[in-house]
Amino acid sequence: MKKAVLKKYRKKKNYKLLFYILPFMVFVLLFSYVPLFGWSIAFFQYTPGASLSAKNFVGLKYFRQFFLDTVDMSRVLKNTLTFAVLNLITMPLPLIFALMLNEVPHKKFSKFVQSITTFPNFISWVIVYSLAFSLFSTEGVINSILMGMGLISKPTNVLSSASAAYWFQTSLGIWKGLGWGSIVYLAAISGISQELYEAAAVDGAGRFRQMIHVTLPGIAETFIVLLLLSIGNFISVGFDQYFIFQNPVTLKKLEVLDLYVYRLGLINKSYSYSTAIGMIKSAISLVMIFGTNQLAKKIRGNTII
Amino acid sequence: MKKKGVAILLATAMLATLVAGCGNDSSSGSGAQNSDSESSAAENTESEGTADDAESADADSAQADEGDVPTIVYAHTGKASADMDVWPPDFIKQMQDEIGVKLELIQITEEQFDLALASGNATFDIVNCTKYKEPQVLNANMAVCLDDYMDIAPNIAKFEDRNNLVREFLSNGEGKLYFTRCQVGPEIAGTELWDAYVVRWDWYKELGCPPINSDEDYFDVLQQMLDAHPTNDNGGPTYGLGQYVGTGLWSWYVSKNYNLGYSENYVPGLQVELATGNVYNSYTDDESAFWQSMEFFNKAWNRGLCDPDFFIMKGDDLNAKVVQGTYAGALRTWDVGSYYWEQMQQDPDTVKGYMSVVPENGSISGGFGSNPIAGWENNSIFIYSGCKNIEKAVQVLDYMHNEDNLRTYYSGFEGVHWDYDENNVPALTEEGRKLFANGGDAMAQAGIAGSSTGGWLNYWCAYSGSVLHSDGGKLNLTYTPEALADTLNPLQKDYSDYYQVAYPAQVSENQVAAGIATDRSMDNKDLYMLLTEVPEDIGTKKTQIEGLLEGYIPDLVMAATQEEYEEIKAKVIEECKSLGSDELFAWSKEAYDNAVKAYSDAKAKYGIK
Repeated sequence: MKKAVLKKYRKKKNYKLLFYILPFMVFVLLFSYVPLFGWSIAFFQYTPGASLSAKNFVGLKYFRQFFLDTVDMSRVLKNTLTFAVLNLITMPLPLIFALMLNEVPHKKFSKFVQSITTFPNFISWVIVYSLAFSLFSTEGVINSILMGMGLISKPTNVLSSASAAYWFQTSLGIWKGLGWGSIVYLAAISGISQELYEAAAVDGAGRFRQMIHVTLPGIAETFIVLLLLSIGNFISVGFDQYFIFQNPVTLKKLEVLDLYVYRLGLINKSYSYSTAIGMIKSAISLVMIFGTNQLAKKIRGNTII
Repeated sequence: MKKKGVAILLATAMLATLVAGCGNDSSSGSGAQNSDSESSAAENTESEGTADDAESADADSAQADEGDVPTIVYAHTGKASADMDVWPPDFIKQMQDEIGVKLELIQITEEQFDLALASGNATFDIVNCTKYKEPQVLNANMAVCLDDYMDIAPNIAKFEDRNNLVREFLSNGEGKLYFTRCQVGPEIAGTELWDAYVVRWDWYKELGCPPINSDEDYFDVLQQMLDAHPTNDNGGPTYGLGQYVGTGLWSWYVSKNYNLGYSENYVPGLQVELATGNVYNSYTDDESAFWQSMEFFNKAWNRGLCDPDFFIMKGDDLNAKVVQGTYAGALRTWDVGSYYWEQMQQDPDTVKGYMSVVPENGSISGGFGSNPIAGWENNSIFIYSGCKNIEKAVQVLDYMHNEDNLRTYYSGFEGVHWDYDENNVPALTEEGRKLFANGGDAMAQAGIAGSSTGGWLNYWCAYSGSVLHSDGGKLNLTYTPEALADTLNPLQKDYSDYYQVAYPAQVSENQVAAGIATDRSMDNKDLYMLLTEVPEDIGTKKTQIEGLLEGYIPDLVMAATQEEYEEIKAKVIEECKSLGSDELFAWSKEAYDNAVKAYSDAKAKYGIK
């Protein structure tokens, strides 16, 4: 009898919980799933105006075009993958930064540094471009200082250097996102029990060893989850940064997949082709998410999905 | 229990918000929206093309329908922004009073227009649609057939030639009038040219105004200016030329395109030399504006005349250097116009500014003179089929076809800004001359041509200002040598005095009249009507080739030797061909030839001269 009452209570409680998430389910359904009907234009020769039924059905033409378009696609995919790999390689930086910040004994200074480094995240890429132009252009601050000090005889311009495009853009991304990215690790660090540190101290561990043996394992789980998510999002390297910073010199290096889709879709009005590319991109992301999830299961024994 | 109630209430509220937010039926929510829409109407029109604009306009429209004075929402697709601080200006007020409507202007982006096309649901009553969109508008059944309303549109009906061409080519073969178009008639040069060889006028005069008859002469002049003025107003370095990026190939070839006397691109990848009728492949032919531009820039770069930031500056970055007096020359006068206005703040009589020097041999074509029968190509205006007051919308459209209203728009109000003299000839009054010379708030309040509040109407005016009114005067009374001379600023006056002309553009006009410079009236912009549909694969090829060319611009411009330049050029052309430039050109050539023939046939059919 008691068991039945408990079961009924739990069932009721579960319904209540489900009811709580209903608005969010509707939100996701409306804004994430309903728009997927728009994918249908990838199978038609679509132009805005008449209904789809009045358009030519072209089947997989645009998907084939993606794989046959070797000239543009090889360049675009190379750029996209380069930035994706660079983003993955630099992914531990916020973690390292959080670890270092956590070790700063002066908490006010630590908070100050955290605020200063988080601030760039809220600056739009348009402003970042203006700042970069003021700093790095031929008559910019950096060149003026270096030439004033006699360190260089001719101005250098990293904004119009194709060879510097990959690392410069990645550096800007790190500058913009370092503080913001470290917040989640700082939150994870604050959740580590003080008893562990005390126990480590009793065992003779200094600050460095405590960091390596207590803090780092404590936030490793968070890092792995974020790593898996970013692998799933591997080829979505962004749009605005590259759109703003591209110029004729860096065009060949900064044209990533999202920018290419924009150029074809919105500038050339090839809505169908760009939708097909978007679908292929989503499919790749899906495969990578489930692939990395399975990999995580094998390595860690549990999954994130 | 209380907690549970609050939770249910919150959840329900969130759900209701979501559902309400997704609704798009304007009528269903009009009651709630209307409460504050009246007061916010002007504010809403200030921002450019936001969703809020459209929503508010929709709400206003619905509200007005219930009242005595209906609101007509005119959507302007970003061709010229309108200063909405003074709304409605006097000209719009007059229109509203005469027709009995409230006119609301919203500015929408091309993407918003596409969205309206895709959904078939628009928030405007009249729209000035973007280039090549007419077939899509017709396919979506979004346009009202104006032929059904000709009894209330007598002025539209007067434009027989234009209307017949539009019926012939922009009706999906129905032979009906769905669109009106603006600026029918010859285009004049205006006060000054924007192309040719742009120089810093005061520095050029210091050199004694040496003749500039070729690119080499131009480079020599720029070099001499830089030698004489190595630093700008702020002590920074000076350069010969600046450039801005972000417009694809356009900013790289547009000046040469006009200087060489070529048509604009009727179809992708094809340029027509107006004087000879020769057609060129824009991407691979030596004679094309792109390759001529590349040679120009390569020479300029190797002579050290280009700003080192040539390839990275956006418009704002360029302007920041312009206002410091950094450049000795420019690719277009409008790139460097801000310098003169800055200098004028300190000295109203200054001649520190930029002017365009025209070669004496007429080797450069003035960027003016087209004479479209069917109006400007990028401005097909239609009434949305969902408009609730079609008759009023037709009257609004008709208003800008009336010659008296157009005279007011171009020349100001009769009896105030212009009047008939003792010989019954219309001419600007003293007040009118002052108004056009000084501009400013009075001009904005008037809302006429050239004002910040009325400039956008230029894309709606059925006739160009140089067309004659039935009283014998031009619609735009500032288009006389005397009136143009009256409106000159000190810089333009100084230039005119030097060349002994009434106004700067007359230098080029005289060359065209003498037959030594290209007459751009041969630039048949009506052909655009026949070339509205570019197949997707052709469009894709164009995008890919232009992307390729843009990426090679720095290599071409910075090539240190002629051999290196030729090597890169050969490689680029080869790559263009591998991307299908020949196929693209073949399509374009055929489309162009067919269009020329069809246009000629249509003119014969309707007896258009």
